[in-house]
Amino acid sequence: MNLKRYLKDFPLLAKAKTLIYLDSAASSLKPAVVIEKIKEYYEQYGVNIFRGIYKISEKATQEYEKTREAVARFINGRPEEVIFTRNTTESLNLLAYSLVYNQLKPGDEIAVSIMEHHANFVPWQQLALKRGARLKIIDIDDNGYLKTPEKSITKKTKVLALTYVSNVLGTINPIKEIIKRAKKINPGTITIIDGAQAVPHLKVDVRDLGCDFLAFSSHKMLGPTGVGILWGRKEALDELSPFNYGGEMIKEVYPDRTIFEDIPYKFEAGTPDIAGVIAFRAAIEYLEKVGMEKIRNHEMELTGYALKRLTEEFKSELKVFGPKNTKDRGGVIAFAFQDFHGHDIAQILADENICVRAGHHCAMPLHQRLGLASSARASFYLYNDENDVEKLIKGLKKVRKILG
Amino acid sequence: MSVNIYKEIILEHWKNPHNYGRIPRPARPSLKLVQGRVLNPSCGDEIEMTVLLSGSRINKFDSGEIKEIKFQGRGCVISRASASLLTDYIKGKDLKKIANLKKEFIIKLLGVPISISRLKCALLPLEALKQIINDKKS
Repeated sequence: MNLKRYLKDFPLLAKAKTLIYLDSAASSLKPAVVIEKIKEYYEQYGVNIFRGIYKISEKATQEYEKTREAVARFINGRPEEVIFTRNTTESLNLLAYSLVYNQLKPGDEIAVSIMEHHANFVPWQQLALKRGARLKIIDIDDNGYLKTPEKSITKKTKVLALTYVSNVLGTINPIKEIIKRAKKINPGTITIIDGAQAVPHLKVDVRDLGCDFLAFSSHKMLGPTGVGILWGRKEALDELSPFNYGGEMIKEVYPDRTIFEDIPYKFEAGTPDIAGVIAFRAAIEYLEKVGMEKIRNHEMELTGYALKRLTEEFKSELKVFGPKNTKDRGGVIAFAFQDFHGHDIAQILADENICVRAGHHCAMPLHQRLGLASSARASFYLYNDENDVEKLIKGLKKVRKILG
Repeated sequence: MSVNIYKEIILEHWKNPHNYGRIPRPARPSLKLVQGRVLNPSCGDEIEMTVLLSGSRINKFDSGEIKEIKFQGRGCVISRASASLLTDYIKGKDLKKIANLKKEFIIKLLGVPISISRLKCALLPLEALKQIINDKKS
């Protein structure tokens, strides 16, 4: 993969040539085409969508709907199955409250894993507490793989909510297999996949996966912030009741009753982040042009390189969490370095203009499971290369020099 | 650049923190043991402070000399150095003094530039101390 070709597309990297950005798992950088598209909307047709019977509103509506089509194409769904939300967190909460809340009876079970991001953990935990349901937590083994997930599925399992790729361990879970086995045990189990760390980095095909719902965010895949996606199988979406009530989501309103819009509109009450949604298409098209397979291969190679080099340089001083085999992990490397605190590591790296994240990465249950208060995390995307890894190593040597 | 937050003096307090540990329950009734514990939700860090008070009105806890103070828990260089320096400062002073301690005081005590993202780390020990006063009120 010729990186030079991509670097120039990202203003933050093209301008600040010294920036080593290793925090794409938190939010990716945005290419110029995305930024331009936002500008295009505000400058040329920056008005509200739907029902505006004038040219620029029709144009805005068309552009908005084109993103829905692009998202559907990208994950092999249908446009009417694509709901725009604010972020992955909102997508998952929408499911928790519109779909599951009313169906959940005392004694029912919800299965999640210990490696979940809080966004796919806390909503289910709270729902279980409120409805007297049981939260079953799938454990991990010492290499960061899920431990026999099917053992947590029973006839009582109402929901299986799992992350596709862990934002800390990097583990790529065998979602397709797990869903297949879960549905065999209990065909009624609703399968919900947190794709926030997967859709930006892997080819995700919802039909192939066989899941009922998939949630992800635009801002982690080169798109603007403020736009999340909830994809749902049409039959599954029809089961959902609206979450927010208001404008844009109704067909007819009378003093005593309301007839709601069809999917996906009945879930999109109020004026959405129009600019964000429209510009998200530019991000999808950018990714399609590069090719998801190419991105995956690049990240796999780079992760392999980083794992090898970190071990060579620091041996047992530095412990990387998650699978050793790069086939099973995304471009996320969370690590502990001696007994240095993540904040101190990140701070010293920041002075070298190296951006990593420190803390529990919104995965406190996982850190408790690993026996850690926090970790430091470097994550990659298509614009990172071996040079970034070498800079990281140089920075870590400085950390050791200062704190050692 | 903020690397100079890792000054020798700060690193020294991190490596060999003063007043580290936990004070056991005192045998003498004229001494009172109080404690506070806080968590930094952004990183999972934790600090616990135990304070041994003596004084004439200690049962009401509104004043009393801090005879001894110790802290323990897990944290970064900044939070630990801050706890070490703060406990040194407050030892021997009256409990009432804690209420007047402000953010600015801690920054001055550390003597290094603290960025917004590290402020929470620096203030965690003070928060634990203030917890003691709050508990006393409730």
